[in-house]
Amino acid sequence: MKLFESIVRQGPLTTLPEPETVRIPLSCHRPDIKCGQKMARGIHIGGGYYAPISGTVTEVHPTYICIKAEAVDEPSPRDMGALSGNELRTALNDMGAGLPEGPAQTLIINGVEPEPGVTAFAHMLDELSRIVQLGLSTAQSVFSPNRTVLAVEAGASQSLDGCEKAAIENGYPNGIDPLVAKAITGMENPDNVAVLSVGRLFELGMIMDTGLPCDKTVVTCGETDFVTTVGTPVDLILTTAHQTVRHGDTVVLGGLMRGEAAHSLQQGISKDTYGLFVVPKGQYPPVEDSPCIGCGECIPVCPARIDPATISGYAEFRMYDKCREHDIDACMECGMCGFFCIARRPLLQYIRLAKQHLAQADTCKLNDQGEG
Amino acid sequence: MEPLTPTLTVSTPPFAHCGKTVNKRMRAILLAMLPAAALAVYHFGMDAVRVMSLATATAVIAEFVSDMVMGRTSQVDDLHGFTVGLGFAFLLPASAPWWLVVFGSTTSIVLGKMMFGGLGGSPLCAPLVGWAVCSLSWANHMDIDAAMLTSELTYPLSQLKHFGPQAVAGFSLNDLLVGRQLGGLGAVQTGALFIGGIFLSMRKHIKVAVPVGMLAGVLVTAGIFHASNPQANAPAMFHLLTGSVIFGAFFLATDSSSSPMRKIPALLYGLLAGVLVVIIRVYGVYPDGVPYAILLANLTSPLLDRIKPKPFGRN
Ligand code: SF4
Ligand code: SF4
Repeated sequence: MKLFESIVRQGPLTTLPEPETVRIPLSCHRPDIKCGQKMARGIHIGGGYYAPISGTVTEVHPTYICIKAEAVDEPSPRDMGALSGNELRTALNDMGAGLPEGPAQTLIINGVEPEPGVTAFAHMLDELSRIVQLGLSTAQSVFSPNRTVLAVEAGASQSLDGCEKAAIENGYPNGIDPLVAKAITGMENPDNVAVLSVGRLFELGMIMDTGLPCDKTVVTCGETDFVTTVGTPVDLILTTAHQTVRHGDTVVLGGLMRGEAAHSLQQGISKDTYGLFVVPKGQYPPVEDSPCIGCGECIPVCPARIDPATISGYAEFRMYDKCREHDIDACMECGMCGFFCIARRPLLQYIRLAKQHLAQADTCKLNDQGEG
Repeated sequence: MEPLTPTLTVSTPPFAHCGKTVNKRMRAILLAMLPAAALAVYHFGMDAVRVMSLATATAVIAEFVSDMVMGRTSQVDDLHGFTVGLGFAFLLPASAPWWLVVFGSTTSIVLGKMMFGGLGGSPLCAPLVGWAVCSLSWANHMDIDAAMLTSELTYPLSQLKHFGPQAVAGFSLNDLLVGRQLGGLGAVQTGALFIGGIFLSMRKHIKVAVPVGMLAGVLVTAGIFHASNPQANAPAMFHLLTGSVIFGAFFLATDSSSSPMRKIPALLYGLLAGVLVVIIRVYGVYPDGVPYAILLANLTSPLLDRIKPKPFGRN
């Protein structure tokens, strides 16, 4: 994996046919849905998830639900064209867009590929520009910014109408939102700035265009970028992209630095999946439960300027309050520390674990105060 | 969600890795020590072979046994124990008796490393712990001067201590570089160690700030002493190339668990160690100040580690 080089795009965008069966991943949410139930495309399943195709529910599982394609009477799409401002924001959020609070003086469109090896954003800007452009005007209507900036990797040719263009230095993690915001405004965590990725513009554009929640995503797999339906099983995409998976390989949804490992090839992709990778068994030294050896490799690479070694050490011993003292909140979850750890500690995992515990502790405290 | 074939590995991000591991680092360090070890054999013959093999074997066995006693899976295959053993051997005179080697090497591992939970836990550089215990307990066996009886080489630092800078004016820098001097059997191979150190720095296997700081500390402090009184103090280059300065700067002070992690603290730590080396040499009873200088600097690293930048987004 060449982490720090910019990526050359391969081939044109390919549209994958709608699958027979979709599995919509759910995050720890048990929807009020039963097997055998008919589902129309665009119906809210629960927890911000929507049916990407019409059909019958064939399986309800804590982590996903499965829908088999079938003709079902579909409700008429919502007319989004007439809405603006806050009404528009609410309508979009109702369709799963989850926009940040606004308004914002500066709207940054992050067009830097989210992870090494992904080329989905460039393809969206080039070949789905009508939708992306529609998404941009929607976002502008919601945030009413004074200034809109498109951030792209240095040397990239892509652009958007009605946007300034800013070049971001090549290489991961320069393209992650807080760092892009800093590169453009010169401030760290600036107020009054909203950052949306090109993927989000595509989502907004799709909602405006169809009047339905967005049920498509662009996924980089192998040499090709595919337009796919949310919930498409991983193995369908892998087979189309001529990727073979063997015993013991890791299949990654999203990117190699921040993504999620698939536990089954039948697993469906989500609307935020922009890449699909097969990591052959044995390609990288395995992650180990080994202690930190204090080599310091993780520190200079951390864009948040925190100390992943110390924080992960505290997380390891469940001293989560200490993690907070050492500014775990500043972590952007970029994964650089784990990439460079020579002891192969699961650093990002420790950090996410600690963050989750801290968040839980905070909720409990709030509840206590509420009762008392 | 059947079928489950092929079985996938579910792991955590990041799923890619730079490829450097502890084992690879230790191999690089051993490779960097190899020229010095070879020169040690050239200068001291079978005695050097005897001390180095005894020390490394003892270290590896001591680590393995400690792991067994603690009921842990041994990670002795990461080669760190071997490296500690060799590092300890480098500090010994070639004439060291076998029991001293065995005792010191065991102490390095048990007291310097395993007591603190193994690799990464130790606040002190492990080989120096063994060295310190031995040189306090058996000063005359650790005394480099004693080795003079069997060798026509001399120990420049002790000559400096006893007879002043005039006595060492005859040492050519060249002699010092190729290790034509007495001292720790590997530690005095300064030229070879310097090449090894540069190799490690270029491969980014050590924090470069540490040797830079330490060498600068030695040069500047020795320079000041020499300039203020050339009759009583040896020139800076003499200090740099004698005893275990180069070995200490590149191989001991850079020990990962006992040195600060960030750049500025590492530089200060190196500087402190360098300054202490010369101060101990000038005012202390030990001819070579390096081991104690580094041990003392080790103690400051938790403090120095508190110097850190503001996290992202905090003002
Ligand atoms: S994931 Fe690691 S490197 Fe990235 S910001 Fe968090 S602590 Fe720093
Ligand atoms: S890279 Fe890993 S072993 Fe090295 S200091 Fe960071 S956490 Fe510790």
